[in-house]
Amino acid sequence: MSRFRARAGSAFLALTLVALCAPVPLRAQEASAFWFVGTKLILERSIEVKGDVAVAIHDGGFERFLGKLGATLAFAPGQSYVILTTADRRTITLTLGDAQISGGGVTTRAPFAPYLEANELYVPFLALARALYVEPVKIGSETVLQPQLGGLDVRTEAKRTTLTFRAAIPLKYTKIAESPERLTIAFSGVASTLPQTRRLSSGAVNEVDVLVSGNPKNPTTTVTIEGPAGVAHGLATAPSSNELALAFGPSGTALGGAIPEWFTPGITQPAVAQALPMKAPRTAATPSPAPLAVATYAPSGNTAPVATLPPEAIAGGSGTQASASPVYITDVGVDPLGDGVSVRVSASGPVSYEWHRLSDNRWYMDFKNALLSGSGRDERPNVAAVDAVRARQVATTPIPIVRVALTLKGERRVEIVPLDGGLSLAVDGSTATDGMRVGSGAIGAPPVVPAGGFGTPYPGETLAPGASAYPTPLGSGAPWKYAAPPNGSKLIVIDPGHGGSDSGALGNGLIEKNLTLDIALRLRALLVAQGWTVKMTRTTDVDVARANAADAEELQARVDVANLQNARLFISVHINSFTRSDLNGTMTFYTKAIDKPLADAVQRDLMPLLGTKDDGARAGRLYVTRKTTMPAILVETGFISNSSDAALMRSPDFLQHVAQGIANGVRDYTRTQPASASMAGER
Amino acid sequence: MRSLRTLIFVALFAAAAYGAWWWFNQRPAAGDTVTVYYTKLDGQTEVPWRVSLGSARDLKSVAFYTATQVLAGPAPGVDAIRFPTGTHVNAVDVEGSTIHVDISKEIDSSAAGGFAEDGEFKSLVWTLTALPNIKSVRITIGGAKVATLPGGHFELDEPLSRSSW
Repeated sequence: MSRFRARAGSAFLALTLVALCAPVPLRAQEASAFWFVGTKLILERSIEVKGDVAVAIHDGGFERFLGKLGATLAFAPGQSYVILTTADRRTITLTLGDAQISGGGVTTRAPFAPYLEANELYVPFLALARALYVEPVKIGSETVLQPQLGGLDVRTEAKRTTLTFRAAIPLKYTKIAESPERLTIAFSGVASTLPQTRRLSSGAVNEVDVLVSGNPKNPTTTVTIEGPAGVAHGLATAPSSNELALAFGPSGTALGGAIPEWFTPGITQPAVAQALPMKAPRTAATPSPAPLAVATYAPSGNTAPVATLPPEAIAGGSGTQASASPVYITDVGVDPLGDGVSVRVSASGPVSYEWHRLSDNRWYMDFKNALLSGSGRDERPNVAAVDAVRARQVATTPIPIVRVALTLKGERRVEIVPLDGGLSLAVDGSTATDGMRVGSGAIGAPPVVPAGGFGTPYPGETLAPGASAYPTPLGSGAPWKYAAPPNGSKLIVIDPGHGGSDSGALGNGLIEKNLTLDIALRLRALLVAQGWTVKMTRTTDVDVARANAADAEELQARVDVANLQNARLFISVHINSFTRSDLNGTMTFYTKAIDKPLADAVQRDLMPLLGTKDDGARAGRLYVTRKTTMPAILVETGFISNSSDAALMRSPDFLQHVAQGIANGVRDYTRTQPASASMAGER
Repeated sequence: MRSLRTLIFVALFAAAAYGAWWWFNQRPAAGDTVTVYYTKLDGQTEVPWRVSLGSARDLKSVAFYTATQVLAGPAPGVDAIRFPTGTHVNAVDVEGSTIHVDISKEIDSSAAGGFAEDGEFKSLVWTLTALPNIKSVRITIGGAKVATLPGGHFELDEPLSRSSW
């Protein structure tokens, strides 16, 4: 009997041990509901486990939750790690069978470990939410998932201190007060896990105070930053919309742009170029921010997993907008572009447009169901191709219409370039040849084939099957890329980067494909004057292979021009771009060993003429330089994303200097490198 | 008496097993680390940083982990060439001395020039070829082999190694 008791006891203990080690109880799934930034979030494929909620990573509600936060989840069957990357670039790591959650140098422990069940991964939802700066708050029978201002990075370099506030969701804020010693900003829609007071000894900032107010479903966090007198501040570049970076330092130091009165993600305010010193103390209340597009939100059906609130309750303002709601045209900016202008139009949301070309050289674009922020625009740019640019609210009833009108000097081509949150009307001075008088499209719609008669069809227009958007042959009627080489040893191929359906990089009102073509045409003239035979991969704004060609096909077509004609040299002209606007300079890429002397010569001869930063000749595995069989380089003239480089590239003189520098480099290179040596084909 | 001893022995064994399990799950994530590289804003210099691994140590899991860290980039505030926001690793496979990384299509949203593309892929290749016995990296985008990213600068149609630069 005693032996029986011992065995029974052993079995009991073993079962207890198994139960303790088991990752989750096996139970039927049940939906979990939460309140989250103005919506009811329902996790259909979830189950309560040890005070947390196990949710399937492919649950629709969970995916929407991550989408609101701008977070991505990476997991692949057959390996153990589950990694979330937040909008502010933190990684949060979970491991199958391990309850630890680590991220940003902090390790916490979830009530249970991620586990696989029926080929689906389940993760601890509430513990994960906390790691993502979302705090579950119990209010009665409801659980509110409250986004938090969860991080504050302090970085001091020299006399400049940068404070970067990081939150779970895109930050929406209003500047409340500004004085020589104090800056107060209110973040709406977020609470805070930051300490109420943080004292700093950076010299530029003394103290950061944090106060949370409002109701749990729509909290406001007010941050007051106090510093010594005489310190200026500015808006530094933040890498994501979930972050706000503020720079503090002595007046006269580079502190970024002025801090706007308010900011709502997706709504652009007119830019202020320079950081401003602290203003005098304010006595009047700060004007209210312009409203979000006034959207009517229809309640969702009972079966829909997400119910919606009015947009005022939605932090981040990213709710779905009903079609009847007007959109704001938040900015109309005019920049010079060659002999014409580039007109940037920014909108607070998706909006359709219709454009018309009139017989008296007027061209206008109507945005329907749109309201114009501010009092309109009336510019008379002093350029050869455009007389005037105007923006007006031309109707308010029955539907509001905003009109952007151009008075052109002659039949000028107008290209519509889609941008993030808007579009650009590019008038570069060339002549319209397409005969199109009307067209339509939408901001926020999927990209359409660029309109404007650059050799690609307008929306709704199709090319005949097999027809090329670039039908013009070089030479005497034979297809240009199969033409017999005139003289291999004297032939240089110039490749203006991008073109046609590929605009290349856009920035500061400039379009890469137009600049590269401009430089290439100037370079052609200089090289011909040196006695070279020159072939261009394109001489107008077209795709080289065919309209809307795939990247590989397009690039190979450019390579073919040089390889099939046994060219002596291949020179590709590009404009650089980067996500940060402070990078600038000129660089020349090469790939093969035989490319390097040419790259060195061109870079060396460019720099004295340009006045840009010398970023050097550098090796890079670029398609066109690798696939060509002769010495080949790719010149990145400057950064279109940098305002200084862009200002230079607006100048025809600068573009001429680029062409001259490259031509000088070719001259110097060919003096020292005989054709037989450079054609050796070494790779 | 003998049965009591057996009972005590079983209880002690169970307690020890539970304790071992508890310790295994409590140990800090720090400990074993892996080297991840990022490319400085000069576009050429690779800078290593160490990140802690979780409990998984098999090559495929570690490769997935390190590739994801590269795409996320170093800590906020560090000046680095970074992949476009939202870009993540879809899958990783180990094929002999080559790691195959499938990257999500968010990378296509980059309208950056050759400078940025060069720096992004350099950091990925430097990091993954630092893993034991890995010599090269094969990159696909959204499950498909591509010649270049849209716009076409950096060539991706063949496996990349450190000697590609």
